[in-house]
Amino acid sequence: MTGLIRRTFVALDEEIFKSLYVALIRPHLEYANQPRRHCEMTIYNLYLFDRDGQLLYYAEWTRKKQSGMTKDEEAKLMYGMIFSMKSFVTKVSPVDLREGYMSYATNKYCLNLYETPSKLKFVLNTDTHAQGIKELLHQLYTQVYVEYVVFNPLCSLNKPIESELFATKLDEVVKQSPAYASRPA
Amino acid sequence: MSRQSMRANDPKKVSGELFTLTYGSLVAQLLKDYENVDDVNRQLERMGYNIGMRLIEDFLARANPGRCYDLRDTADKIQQAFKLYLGVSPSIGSWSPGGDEFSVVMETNPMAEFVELPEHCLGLRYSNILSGVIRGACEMVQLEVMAWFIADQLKGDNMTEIRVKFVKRLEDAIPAGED
Repeated sequence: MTGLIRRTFVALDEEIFKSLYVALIRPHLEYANQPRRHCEMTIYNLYLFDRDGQLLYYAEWTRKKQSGMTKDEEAKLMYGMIFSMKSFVTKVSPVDLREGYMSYATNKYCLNLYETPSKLKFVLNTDTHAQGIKELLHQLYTQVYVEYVVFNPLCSLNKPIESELFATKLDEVVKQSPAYASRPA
Repeated sequence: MSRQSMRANDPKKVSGELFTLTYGSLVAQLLKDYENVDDVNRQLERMGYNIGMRLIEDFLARANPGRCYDLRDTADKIQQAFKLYLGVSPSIGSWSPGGDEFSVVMETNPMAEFVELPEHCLGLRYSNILSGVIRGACEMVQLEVMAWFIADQLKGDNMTEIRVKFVKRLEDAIPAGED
């Protein structure tokens, strides 16, 4: 889709690209992430991007519908959307964004983004009722990423994370969080 | 290193002396391997740079500072980090008129506690690893800086001073095209 936009619009400045992105690509992502009708309170999936937009880690918990594209493509779309939304938001926002936390909700799902000052991006899709996601994201960063990736000299910082310990701990923390646990039985 | 030496009330904590001596033997080994103080300085800086790139994540996770608005903010954070990781409180000063350069001044340098420079390595910047750490850490938060020693107690100065100069802001990476 990005390629399509690039090919179709020859004189492309950043502004136009951004609006096209929102118009053309976002519906795809919404569609891809669409959960089932009667939604339970839960966490769907997580993307972790490094500062260059590379997907470091992907995990999913309750995702009932796949997007039908490769993980790579999906990650690119996700990063592209976040990138343009972020640059848009920073421009129109009346105050400086200091905290690095953003989220938006549709009537189906809620996308939460936590960006550390080192530009690591945690993207967590939850349903719209999930609470305390901001804390959870921060916890994922301090207690999982820093502990098991940064302190692990064998984990390179700019390659996809392969550490199993990291995966296990991440899963644990997410499953322990109230947002995950509060799904009705 | 910092993980073990600094975590308060942690059973894994080690004494500051062990840390100082470990660093000392590291520098001594480098001197033996490279035989040339300039190479050692460079190597120390590089090691520091790699440490800084990781250490910044720990600092962000622990101190949870917000984004810096200007270089003075950054200087404050560096001061805070020295306190957290080395247990000393350096002072920040000697701002350049343009406000893009400042000094981190340490009264005592815990890394060089037992050290005396022999005559053949007077050109050695013993604690050069620190300037590397500063550079590496700042780079990860989109600040390109230069850091270097301008005064060192080991060379007879009455304090240890690291100069930090702002070079430029690094911008966000643009997502790669899909072609």
